[in-house]
Amino acid sequence: MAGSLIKIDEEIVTSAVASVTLTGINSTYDVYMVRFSDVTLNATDSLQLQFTTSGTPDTSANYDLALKFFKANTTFTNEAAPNLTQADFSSITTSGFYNGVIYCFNFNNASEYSFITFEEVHFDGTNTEGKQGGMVHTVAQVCDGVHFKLNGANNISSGQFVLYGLNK
Amino acid sequence: MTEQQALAQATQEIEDAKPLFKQVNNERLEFNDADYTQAIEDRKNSLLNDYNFGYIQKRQEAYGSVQDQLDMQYWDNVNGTTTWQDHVAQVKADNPKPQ
Repeated sequence: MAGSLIKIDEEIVTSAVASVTLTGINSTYDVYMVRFSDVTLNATDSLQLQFTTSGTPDTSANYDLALKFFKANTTFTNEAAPNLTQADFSSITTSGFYNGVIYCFNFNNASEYSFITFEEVHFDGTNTEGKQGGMVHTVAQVCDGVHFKLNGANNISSGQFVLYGLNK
Repeated sequence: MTEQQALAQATQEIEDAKPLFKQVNNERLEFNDADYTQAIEDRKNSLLNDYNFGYIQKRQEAYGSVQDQLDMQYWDNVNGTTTWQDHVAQVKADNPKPQ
């Protein structure tokens, strides 16, 4: 059925893990969507994102990122940088949480760069904030998923991570 | 902070946090050696990045909006004060650029 979301992978975190990987992006769909919701951490830290190749996170410094950082309590800021090793969704405390949606394009195309657009909102423990932007992996290669990790040596306590294909 | 200092701190943090787990294909698995090595490398890079460039983000947040800064400059002009200049100097002093 046109316009449907087809669930491909789902990871529900109920015991602490340092990373979560969603895989299964291939040639079946042109565009994939990732939803992460109610993600909480066991210590103050920030959720980060990388792409995977053959199920392994690509940690090379080839991610170009640009975003708006919205803050309910103060003015917004711009963030932009080339050659990063990941996207960073900003720091939250143990009473905070993340919710967000990511669209994945060109992941299965070996001759073009993979890129994402994303929008996420988080409560950092004190204020509500959000990030909206995009990230390009400037290597022409096939990517097959996304990898969530933390900046520090801490854990994701709970959360739901789901990968969908957007049915043509 | 040197790369060696960052590596030492990252290694210690990951060692202290062991065991770490990953969730993939609905399985919760302990990190293998390669995962731990990569976690240390990632943490080291993050520490160096925060040290070298963290002040930029902190300054951006502390400066306040352009509107507020223009308002400060307007009232400085009217009253002959240096509120805006003092504010910017304070933000820079509070968030120094690493040597």
